[in-house]
Amino acid sequence: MAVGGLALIVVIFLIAGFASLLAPYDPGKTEVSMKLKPPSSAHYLGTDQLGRDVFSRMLYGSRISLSVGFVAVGISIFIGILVGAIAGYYGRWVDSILMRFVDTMLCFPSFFLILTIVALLGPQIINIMIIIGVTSWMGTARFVRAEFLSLKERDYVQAARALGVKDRRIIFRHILPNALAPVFVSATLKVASAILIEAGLSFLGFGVQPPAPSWGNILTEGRTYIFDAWWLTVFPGLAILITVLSFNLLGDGLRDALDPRLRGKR
Amino acid sequence: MAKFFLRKLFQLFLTLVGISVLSWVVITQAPGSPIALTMDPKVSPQIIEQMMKNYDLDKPIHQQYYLWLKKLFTGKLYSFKDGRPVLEKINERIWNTLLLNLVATIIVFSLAIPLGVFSAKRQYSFLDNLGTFGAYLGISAPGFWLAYLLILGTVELFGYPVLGMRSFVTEDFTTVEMVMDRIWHLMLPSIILAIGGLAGLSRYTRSSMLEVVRQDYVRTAKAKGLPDDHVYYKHALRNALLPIITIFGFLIPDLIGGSIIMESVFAWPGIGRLSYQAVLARDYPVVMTILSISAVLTLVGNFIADILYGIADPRIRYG
Repeated sequence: MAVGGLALIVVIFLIAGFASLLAPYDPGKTEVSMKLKPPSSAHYLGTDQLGRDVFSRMLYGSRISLSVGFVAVGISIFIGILVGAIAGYYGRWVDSILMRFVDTMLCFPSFFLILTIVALLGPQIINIMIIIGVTSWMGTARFVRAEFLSLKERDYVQAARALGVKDRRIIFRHILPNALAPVFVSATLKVASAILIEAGLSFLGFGVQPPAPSWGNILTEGRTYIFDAWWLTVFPGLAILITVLSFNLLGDGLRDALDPRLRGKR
Repeated sequence: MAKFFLRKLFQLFLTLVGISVLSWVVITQAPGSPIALTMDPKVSPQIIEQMMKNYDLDKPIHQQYYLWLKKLFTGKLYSFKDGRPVLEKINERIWNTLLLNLVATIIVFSLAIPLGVFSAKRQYSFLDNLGTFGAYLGISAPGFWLAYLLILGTVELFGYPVLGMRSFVTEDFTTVEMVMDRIWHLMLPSIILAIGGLAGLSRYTRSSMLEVVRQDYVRTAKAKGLPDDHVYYKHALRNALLPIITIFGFLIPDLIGGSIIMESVFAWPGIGRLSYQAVLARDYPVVMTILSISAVLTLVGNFIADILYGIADPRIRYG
């Protein structure tokens, strides 16, 4: 299943990369005479309310979903590793303060918090990425900290310390590489949830703004025509489902491979 | 135990302070916050005046924080939109949300646990694999998309309205019809809300059961000839479900987050829809009160879950 997930992710990446070659139409080109046409050989997935080709728009939309997913998770992982490493390595009051901050962040309903801040700052794609990133690093911080707490007691770390290696070097060169496996697993699963969050924001009108095509906003624009043009609702939703599913499958597969004790969990 | 309790209580207090500071910073100090609006000539003087009143923007910064905290917890914050107390507005809506979530939770628990036990009993059977796949679909599909598919399906099939808490025209309804109408409107959003939890909890029960049934005491129970159902439901399930207590505390943020989207889809007049309308109208007092209240509830929920877990599982010793 995990291999299937990986294969699907590769395909989705290829689609996003070669969207301009694969798309039969310009995703922004409107043709009012062709509006709301059902799927046909000319328009594989039909046309929307402005006569734009849904298939082409969805190909381009994959870029937005993937980039939101990856950039947001990159930010989140970066903050999580930094906070977790510092808290776990230095311990004592540094640890206490940082962990109380993590507890505090975890108490807020994340989707509502994201929605509020996006509304405050404006729904540009870069804002969305940053905000999803800075509101979702707490889990990573917690388990990076846990890894550090146990790894810093190991002999090789003590040896490095005895040799006078600087803290920063011990943290990033000696301990971190050994603590990264669970980070990869959670990063994969987080990409899935970031894509879902972007879709949810789009649905509420705070996602990537039209006319730029994202799966979320194609779906959202299409809901007005749900009874006349089902394809505007069904296909973008399926694209989100398949992408999120692939990342979830890959993430669980990676976890099983890296930590056999957890096999079959979920 | 007492020492543990006190330490937990102290942490709880620190986190509470953290929540209040963070809420206040987001609302008053972040770029794009309402304070920035007071510099905007397009904003009407009334709104600016209301904002000054709400946030005491004319006072020094430490007093601003103190006064905001006091107003928040004594219900003296007023909506920008209609000038009504925020707590009153929340009180009107929260019961509808609780009703919706109560039904969803009942659906989740009454289906997920038997499903999980069944899958664990027949690990890797066709039905178990089907369940695994279904669970993956459940956690991967956007909820609002499923909701639209369901609306599309039911309206095409039954031709009966599904949005809101009840139908628009109900004058000629009998009492029974009224009740049925209410239940009908409650069912669809509850089912959609339940799907994510159902997928998660059934898988959780399954894996937890698989761990427990390999233990010696379960083998003993089987060996002494107890019926299978008795072994699974009476002996194994109790231990398998213990960790679920800790999940309860984290239900609250999910509940609010999930409600925002679902209540918007189904035009359900609950707290989620109120939050969304407040965000749209830039009605900051409402937004911040809901954010802070749900954070505090989550905190208290986690605290209670921690304590309950210790009581339910005698193996846990606090020291």
